[in-house]
Amino acid sequence: MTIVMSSDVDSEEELLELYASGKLKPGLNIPVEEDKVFINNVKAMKEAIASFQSSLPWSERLDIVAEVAPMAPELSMEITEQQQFLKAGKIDEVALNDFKRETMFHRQAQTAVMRGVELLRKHNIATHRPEDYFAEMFKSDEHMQKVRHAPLQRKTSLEQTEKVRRIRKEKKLAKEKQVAAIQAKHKQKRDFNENIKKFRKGLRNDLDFLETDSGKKNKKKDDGGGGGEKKKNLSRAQHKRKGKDTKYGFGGKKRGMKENTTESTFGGSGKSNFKGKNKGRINKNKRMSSKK
Amino acid sequence: MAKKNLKRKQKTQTEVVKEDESKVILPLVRRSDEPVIKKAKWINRERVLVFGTRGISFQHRHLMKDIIKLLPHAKSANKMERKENLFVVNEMCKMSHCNKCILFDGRLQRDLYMWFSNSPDGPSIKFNVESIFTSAELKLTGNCLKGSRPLLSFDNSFDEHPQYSLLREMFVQIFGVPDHHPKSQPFVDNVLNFSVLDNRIWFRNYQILDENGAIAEIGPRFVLQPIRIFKGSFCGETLWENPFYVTPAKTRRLLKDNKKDKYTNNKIQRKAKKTKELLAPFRVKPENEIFRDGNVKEKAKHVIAKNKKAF
Repeated sequence: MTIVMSSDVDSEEELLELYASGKLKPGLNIPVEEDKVFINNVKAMKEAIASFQSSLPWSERLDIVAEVAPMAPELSMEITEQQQFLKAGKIDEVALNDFKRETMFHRQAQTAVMRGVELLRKHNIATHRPEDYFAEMFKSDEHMQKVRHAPLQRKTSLEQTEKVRRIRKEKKLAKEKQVAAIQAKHKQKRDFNENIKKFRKGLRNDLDFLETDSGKKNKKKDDGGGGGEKKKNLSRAQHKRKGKDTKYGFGGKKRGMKENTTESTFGGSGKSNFKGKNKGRINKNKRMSSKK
Repeated sequence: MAKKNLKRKQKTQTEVVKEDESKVILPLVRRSDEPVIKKAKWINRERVLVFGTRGISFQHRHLMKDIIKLLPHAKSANKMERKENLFVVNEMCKMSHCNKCILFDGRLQRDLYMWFSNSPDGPSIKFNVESIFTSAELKLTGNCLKGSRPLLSFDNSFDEHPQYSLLREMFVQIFGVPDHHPKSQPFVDNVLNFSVLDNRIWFRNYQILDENGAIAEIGPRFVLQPIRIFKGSFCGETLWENPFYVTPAKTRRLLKDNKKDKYTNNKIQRKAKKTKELLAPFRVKPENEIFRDGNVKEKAKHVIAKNKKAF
């Protein structure tokens, strides 16, 4: 039940009285606000207009009532769409869309210009300023200079960043290639030496490796290419993860990884824990022995 | 002072000569007793007082300066103390020989209200100004002569509704630059565009590039939302009230209210999810139902019997 409250604060007694008389019933009671009546005194407004309206000729007023101008046929579809929106009361559709709104104003101004120019000619008022007529402008030259330079600056800055990015990428690629080449060279040498050693010791009887070396190399290169394709199949997130892993390492404690241990100092398995820069370099003993 | 006056005279005379040149070519030799060319008529003696109250922000001040620049017939005044009654403005207009007035009424450096008034007899209108962009902050390519006379373009709805036609008359008298005003330029090279959209009046300023309708925007941009129309100047009875007007404070409050429930809703949802998990922790797989409680063997027998029946 809803009842219009006479005052904001009703005492308990009053409420009890109302309840006794039957005006108030059990349940939820909500105060109902009366709708505000908005003033719209049309007659007085018209009088006001008449009282202060100027009786000057059009050449003093220069006002024009203009509707939205028609545009190129390919855009006319859009216009009808806009007007439909307006008619259907979907004002937000136009008012909140910057582009639609601004084009509407633009076209209204265009009609005003086309009509206005005719009228101005009729009243013998100049619209075109001669080339040699100089006067202070609404916006200063400094500001206009800024406006002119703004898009240029944006373009150059974009180009600059693009260039820097490209160079950085190229550098990275070149470095990778260099490291790969060095490692491949070392590996080839190592294998070659090992094979020679084996041959010397009599573990090997053929000298095939001297000829097929280049063939093996080619095969390996092909394999590398296949690996590259696999890399490409990774999703974007995986790719990113992989990149970060290579850059920062993956898992475990990083501290003390490069420190010497008993294992590293006394040979042990011969495998080193750390990823050194000089990955291709082998243990000195081995190198010396292979030279003999 | 005398020097200044002289300069002005010279300027107007040169303008007059230029206009005549476009019409007729003057003879090379003139006689000394020839009558002096009379000054062109400056009939429309409209003057507009443009000023603000204390409490307008820097942006509002820049907008005010833009408008003063657009109107060569404008006069500026010092900022008004907010404590004073607005009725004082009428006296200020009288003192500075102005019959129109634009007052920038700022509140807390945040909200801007604009008064357009026909002093001293009225009517006057109070606007709320929204989405302000001054010509300096907009990087627009258009430009026009300072003090050139603008065309005033109005939407169709300015003819349809009486409140808007009143506004139109006011705008024409305030923004229309008087012909032959000494500070004005003799060319029409910009359009002031007023259009009604969403119960607001959108103001745009365009440069006329050529006579076929090519235009480029100059700035500034602002939106006027009419609040009330008064019969007198800063006084008198209300002629019209905007039923769609919501005060900026209220809109801010509503926006805040929308955000208010976000936290509590989040909390409630989390709690609900937790209780649901507690009630049924192993509801994920249907097989787990068997091991939930009771005798597993008996249940298994039950299931087998059921399957047999089904076959």
